Amino acid sequence: MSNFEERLFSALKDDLAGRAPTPLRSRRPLKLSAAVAGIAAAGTIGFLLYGGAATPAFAVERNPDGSVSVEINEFRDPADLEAKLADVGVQAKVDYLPLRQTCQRDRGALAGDDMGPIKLGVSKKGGSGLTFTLESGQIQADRTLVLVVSRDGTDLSKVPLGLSLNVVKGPVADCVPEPLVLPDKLTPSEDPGPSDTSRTESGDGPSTDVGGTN
Amino acid sequence: MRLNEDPAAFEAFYRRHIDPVMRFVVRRVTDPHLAADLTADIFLAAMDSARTYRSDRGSETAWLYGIARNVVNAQFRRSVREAQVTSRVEGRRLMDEDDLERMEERIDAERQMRGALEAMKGLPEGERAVLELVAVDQLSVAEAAGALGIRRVTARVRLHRARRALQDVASPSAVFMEERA
Repeated sequence: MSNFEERLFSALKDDLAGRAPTPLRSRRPLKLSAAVAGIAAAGTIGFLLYGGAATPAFAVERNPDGSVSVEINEFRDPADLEAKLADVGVQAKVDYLPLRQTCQRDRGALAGDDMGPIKLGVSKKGGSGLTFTLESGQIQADRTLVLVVSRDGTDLSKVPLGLSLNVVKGPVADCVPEPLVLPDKLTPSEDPGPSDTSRTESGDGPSTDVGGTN
Repeated sequence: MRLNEDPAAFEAFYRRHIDPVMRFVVRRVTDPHLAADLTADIFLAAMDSARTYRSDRGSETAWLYGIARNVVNAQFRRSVREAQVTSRVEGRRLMDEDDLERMEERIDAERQMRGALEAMKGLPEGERAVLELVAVDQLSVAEAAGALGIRRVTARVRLHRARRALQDVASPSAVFMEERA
């Protein structure tokens, strides 16, 4: 048995004996509990379908100008992504769903026009999966970035079939999975291939800039 | 159960279950520090509720997995505003560099199982809970029923439905469908 297991055993035994002056946990790092926060935001930014190559991992980076860049290459561990975003001051709700599923459309009040455009990037073959940048101040305290991805649960590095990215103002409802209705002219397939077909929803939300990157 | 009164009984209990509990945790979280915290929290919760254990209500394993599920689910439900959590034993503080590395290896080794759990997310909660315990955690149907506080026949029905539904969203290779007796 390893050190951790032995130390834990001793600590539990002490606790059992009621003599453990074990230090109280002061504060768990925020990132650990950001996991499945039920917060949300509004403002439809876009809906797109695409194909592309994916490599493992995601990255969240705060830039010198205060903006936050996000790059997702593998669609797994949504709670970790939420936690990373929380670390840089962005409340987020991320749901990765099985193929052909998405969340219900109405999860909260979409943010208004006062929010500038968020740039979405979709990779071409060989590049990363998804990138977007949040400008400084774009995500305010009462807003939540809501990301929903429909992807192949058996191959998390596979590019997702579809995704939606919204900013919701105020509370965000938990995701209730429902069938993903695909736009006309786009035939769903198990392997969408490396095309980077994209489509944006019309709406009152901020404008969308979707295009290939890398 | 004399868990709280008999040090020898507690030690036997701990050594029987520490590995399965850690496996249960690293299939559900990817942060090694959090995994250590949750492992400690699960044993603390078991000690706190040892009086609720009744051998005739199912196996010890079923009882402990029921507790483990509650502890991990509670963690997932916690919001940012509720980040302040206190625990009598802080698991992460008991890890040194080697332990951290081993915990990361454990987490890495369970990647496929996390993928399987992800694939089950779209299932109704009741069905998903049974399938998780049977297919991912390798409990018997009876143990899964005990952990969830439901009847065996109910567990079997839910398992059947879940398997059928899952065939649409996941390849069988990602989810271990074999059921133990």
